Amino acid sequence: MSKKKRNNVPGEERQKEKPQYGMARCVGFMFSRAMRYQKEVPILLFFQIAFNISSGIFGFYLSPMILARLEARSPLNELLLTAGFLIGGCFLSDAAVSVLGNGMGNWGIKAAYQGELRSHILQEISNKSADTSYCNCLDTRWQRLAKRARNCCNSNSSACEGIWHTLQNLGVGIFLFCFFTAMLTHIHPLIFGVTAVFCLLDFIVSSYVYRYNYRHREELSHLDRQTWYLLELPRDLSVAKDIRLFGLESWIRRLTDKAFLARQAYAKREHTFYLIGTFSSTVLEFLRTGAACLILLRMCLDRSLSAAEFMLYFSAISSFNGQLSGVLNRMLELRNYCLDLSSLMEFLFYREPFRFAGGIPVPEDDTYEIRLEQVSYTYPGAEKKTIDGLSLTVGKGEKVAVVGLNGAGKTTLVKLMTGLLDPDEGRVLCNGIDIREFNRKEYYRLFSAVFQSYNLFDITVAETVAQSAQNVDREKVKDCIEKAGLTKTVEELPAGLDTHLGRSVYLDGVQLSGGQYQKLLLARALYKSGAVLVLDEPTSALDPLAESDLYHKYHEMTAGKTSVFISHRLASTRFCDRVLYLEKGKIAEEGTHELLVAKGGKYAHIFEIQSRYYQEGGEFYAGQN
Amino acid sequence: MQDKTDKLSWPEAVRVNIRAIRLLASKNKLLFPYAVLKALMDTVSTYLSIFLMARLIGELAGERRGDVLIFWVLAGILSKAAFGIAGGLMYHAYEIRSALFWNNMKRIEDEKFLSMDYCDVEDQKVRDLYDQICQNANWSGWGFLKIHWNFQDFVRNSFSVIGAVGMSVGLFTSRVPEESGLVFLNHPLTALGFLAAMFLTALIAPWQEAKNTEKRASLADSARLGNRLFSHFGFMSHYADAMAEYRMYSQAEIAEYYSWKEKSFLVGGVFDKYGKGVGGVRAAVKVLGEKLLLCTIYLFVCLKAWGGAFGIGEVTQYVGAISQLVLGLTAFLSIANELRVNAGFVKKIFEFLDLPNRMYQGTLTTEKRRDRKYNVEFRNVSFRYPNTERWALKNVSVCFEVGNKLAVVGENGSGKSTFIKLLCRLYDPQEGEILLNGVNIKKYRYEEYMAIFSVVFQDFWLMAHRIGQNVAGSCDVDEARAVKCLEDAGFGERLKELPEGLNTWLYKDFDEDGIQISGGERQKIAIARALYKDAPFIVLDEPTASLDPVAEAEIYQKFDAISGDRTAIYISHRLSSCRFCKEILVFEDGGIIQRGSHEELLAAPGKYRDLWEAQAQYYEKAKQYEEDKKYL
Repeated sequence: MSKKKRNNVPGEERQKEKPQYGMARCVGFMFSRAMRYQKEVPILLFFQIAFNISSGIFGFYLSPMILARLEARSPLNELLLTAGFLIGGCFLSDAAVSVLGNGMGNWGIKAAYQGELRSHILQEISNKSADTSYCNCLDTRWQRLAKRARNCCNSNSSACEGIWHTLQNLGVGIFLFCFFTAMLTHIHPLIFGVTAVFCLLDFIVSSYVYRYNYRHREELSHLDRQTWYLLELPRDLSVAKDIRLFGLESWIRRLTDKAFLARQAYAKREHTFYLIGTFSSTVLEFLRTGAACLILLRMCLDRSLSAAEFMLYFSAISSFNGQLSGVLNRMLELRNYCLDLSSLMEFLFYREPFRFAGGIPVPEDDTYEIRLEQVSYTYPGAEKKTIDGLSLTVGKGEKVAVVGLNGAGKTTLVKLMTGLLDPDEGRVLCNGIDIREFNRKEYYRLFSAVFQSYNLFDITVAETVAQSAQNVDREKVKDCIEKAGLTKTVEELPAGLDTHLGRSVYLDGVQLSGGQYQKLLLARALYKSGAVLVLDEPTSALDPLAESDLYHKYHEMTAGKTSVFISHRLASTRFCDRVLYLEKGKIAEEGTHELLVAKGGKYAHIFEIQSRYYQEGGEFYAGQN
Repeated sequence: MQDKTDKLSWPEAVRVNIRAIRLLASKNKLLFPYAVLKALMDTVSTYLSIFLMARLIGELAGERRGDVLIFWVLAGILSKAAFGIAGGLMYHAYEIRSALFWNNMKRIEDEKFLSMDYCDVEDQKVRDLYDQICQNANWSGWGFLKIHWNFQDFVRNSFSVIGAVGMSVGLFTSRVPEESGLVFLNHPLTALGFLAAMFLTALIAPWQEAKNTEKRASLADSARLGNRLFSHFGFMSHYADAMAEYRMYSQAEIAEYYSWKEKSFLVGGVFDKYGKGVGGVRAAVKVLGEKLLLCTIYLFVCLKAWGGAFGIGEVTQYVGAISQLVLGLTAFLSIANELRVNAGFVKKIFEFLDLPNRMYQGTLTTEKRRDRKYNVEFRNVSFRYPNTERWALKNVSVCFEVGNKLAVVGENGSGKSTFIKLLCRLYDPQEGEILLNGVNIKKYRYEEYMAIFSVVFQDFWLMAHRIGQNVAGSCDVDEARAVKCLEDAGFGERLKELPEGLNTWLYKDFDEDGIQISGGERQKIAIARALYKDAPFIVLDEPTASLDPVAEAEIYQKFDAISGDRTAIYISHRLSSCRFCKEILVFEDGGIIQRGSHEELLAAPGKYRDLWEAQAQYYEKAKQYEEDKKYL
């Protein structure tokens, strides 16, 4: 079965990869973004093209013109004047090209503008990702587009910035191509024909040969992915520990050696194949230059062209050839960039199933009721329903505990309640209104949530708690940190509340332990003080005292709020008004803790398993002996 | 971490570069020889073309004999084709080697990480140094990549300069005829003057380029910060783990604020200001220098040719050769300078590669005892992490009895994990000693000492590879044993369901058909690996934190079977685990404050009782529960 699946993938992808937007739309998109964010980019582009053209023409004439003057034995001052004029022209245009563009390690004036434009587009992508309907994030097509959209902005050679360079080269190339075409047809149409034909032939062969990697991209990316995976290992801390304790170096070395050999073998095959390109290019160049030279020589002898003219035309032929293949290759480059940009546009204009504008305003209330009516949800690509026809009302100010084994659907239930996911069937109501009627962003404001998977930026502790860089209420932050039991830890940090977290951006950042992070998440949820509190496994990394502390404070934290608490620690259910025992996406049992224990069902069984070891008596030892 | 990219002196820069090239050459066989050959082919081909073209033009400007013309044309295109093919062969041979350059470079760093003491791997200073090296490479290829990229050009341009000098000797030696009126050109001083002018103007461009390279290198701090911000805040919203929180806490706002906080590469940033100011002027002056040199050369060549010292053909040759000289010399000097600046970055890499292994390693072998009678004793052990003030462990003394089941409990940050790290000699204590059968553990060979421990760390790691190899930690798997260990760890039933059995791939990184496994299953495979190692000590660190009650109970029930006659140490926040351990160590503030059996410790007031009651209260029937009700 898995084999079949794999065979299907490439065809499927090819079908999906067909770009929605053509080249003109993509280039137009880039110009419209440039006009919105950074008008300097197209203006500079125009000047870069102009100066590059003049630089090309001055450079082309320099040596043949001087030669012509010498050959004609012109007076010395005329000779020197010609040389001076041409070199001066070269200087002015080259200097302009250099200052504007690629001078000084590619850091001309244009670089900052193009970089800033790329950052703006990246910001758009980033915001789209941050705001898009959460269900989109689970969609594999969306994920693929997101990845390609990101790749458009990775570096200054990826589509969003590289395209300006390509457009510049293309502009210059097309102009000079026309210029040399005119010159060649003027000399002899046959020279033009021969050169153009051989050049095209070379282009066709080369573009086939050098697409070897593209044709073998799956093999190549597989090889690279393996190698990179292995190369990342030794510096990873948890890997480093296991390597030392289990003596895994030789295993990793052997696998790496194997991966390197496979990659080397690929490189050998790849470049052996490229030899075809080298041979064909050499032979075609031999024929092209040979034919053109012979025709030129004939003309020299017949029509008595001067040596300088021979020189001029000879360089015109090679320049023509260079410009033609340059233009063709730049077109290919542009096409590839546009493929990426099409994905970028598809990503930015991706359909949003959630409402993000207009809609009914979320009712103002101190506390909210959340009701699920016959809700079912299946993850994309999954076969089984994760939530299956579930109905539930969490009343205003009610405290609900959700328990169940791994995979029972607890986290999904929370995602449905908080509006991260929309049900396939049934509806979710907040104070009686279908949440699909709200602007979803406003609905999110109701919730203070702690999720199992968390995301903390490398920003200061205070900013993390307040989730804002500019509006931080420090007193409130301190208060929330106190409530989360983190005051002592924060006081010990080098810069207290202003200490940076994490090490990926600021070198003075600190790493907290798992338990400390968990407390920080709680502080953040408290700071937000949403009307509905949602806690998904908030105690898994806490020690017993901190855990118990949280339970005792739970009542105070949730005073007057609707709350949902998910935990494997069944102790937590004591502090909730109602316990929901979830199994296979359905509520299998519900009621108060005592009721469920008394009932002796599944919940009671799980509770018994967990409490067995806590109870006095010989039960444990009896079981073992 | 200070980022001084101090300029190295030339001799030192040369030394550093030579050391780097030798290291890289040993890892990339034949890469550099092929680069030299390729450069040689290119140079010869270029100058041969110039020479043959000059002969052709000379003939055209002169007698115009048909057969001679054909001869020069054929010679030109044939030699071009021959060198094209030979050069192509060299090029591809070079590229085959070059394809693995980056991998081999990472491999050098990896080998260092593999051979380093663990405490250095974890040391923040080492990690910062390494991050800096990586960021330098990512930003502009500073470090080994720069050497790789520049080596071929460096060689080519040195050849080019030599070739150009060889081809333009005639320019200086040929004499202008007396009657031309330009005889002063024949004077040696004139030639010297022109040479001096050429030399001076030739220096302008590399000099500007050098200043520019230095300036860019000096902006490394800003560039790295800019890149770190960019890659952290610009791409965060795509991480699957981040998506829920992004929405609930409107994190886009904060990410946007930080993305634009540092301007480094943007309009108004340091690079932009430099490009519009001094850098722009330098770029222009550099071009000016190149053109002045061109002027000098053309002036000299034109004057001499006009005076009749040589013909049109020679003019082409000299102009061609000297244009190559200009390009070659400028590039040569620029690259040389760039390599000098780069040497500062390479030095950082060597600083990393040369980090010494400070951990003392003895030569004793541990006895191979079938009865597993290994005694470990901590004697007054104190430890603090590098660069911290606080003692993570203070004066700890404890002795393990063979075959004992030991639970380690305590609050977050009380020293439990540190204790395990010292026990497994991932760190050495600053004070006191740890003894194995009465001998300080430092005196044993490291691998030998490591062999007596099987540890499942809280953050254990499994490779995205076959299950069997993961359990064996090797390519050679004793299959029967691996299956037995997986069964003992409770993975047996799942294993039977897998069509490929031990050969099943974990995750998708290596193989598309790899399987995804749950947290509990991962845990079981990790335990199986610990069993496969069959060491006298087994340590389990928080093995049930993310498991549901049923999976947790399963591990508990297996614990006796898992530990067998080994000495077992179990660390957990779930104190229920203490019930099946004979002895409990209670940690607080880096010290062991209580030790005893569960019953003993519970009998007297103390930390353990506090911890226990904090958790157990919720599970004890009736009595306790009523109290909670009151509390609520």
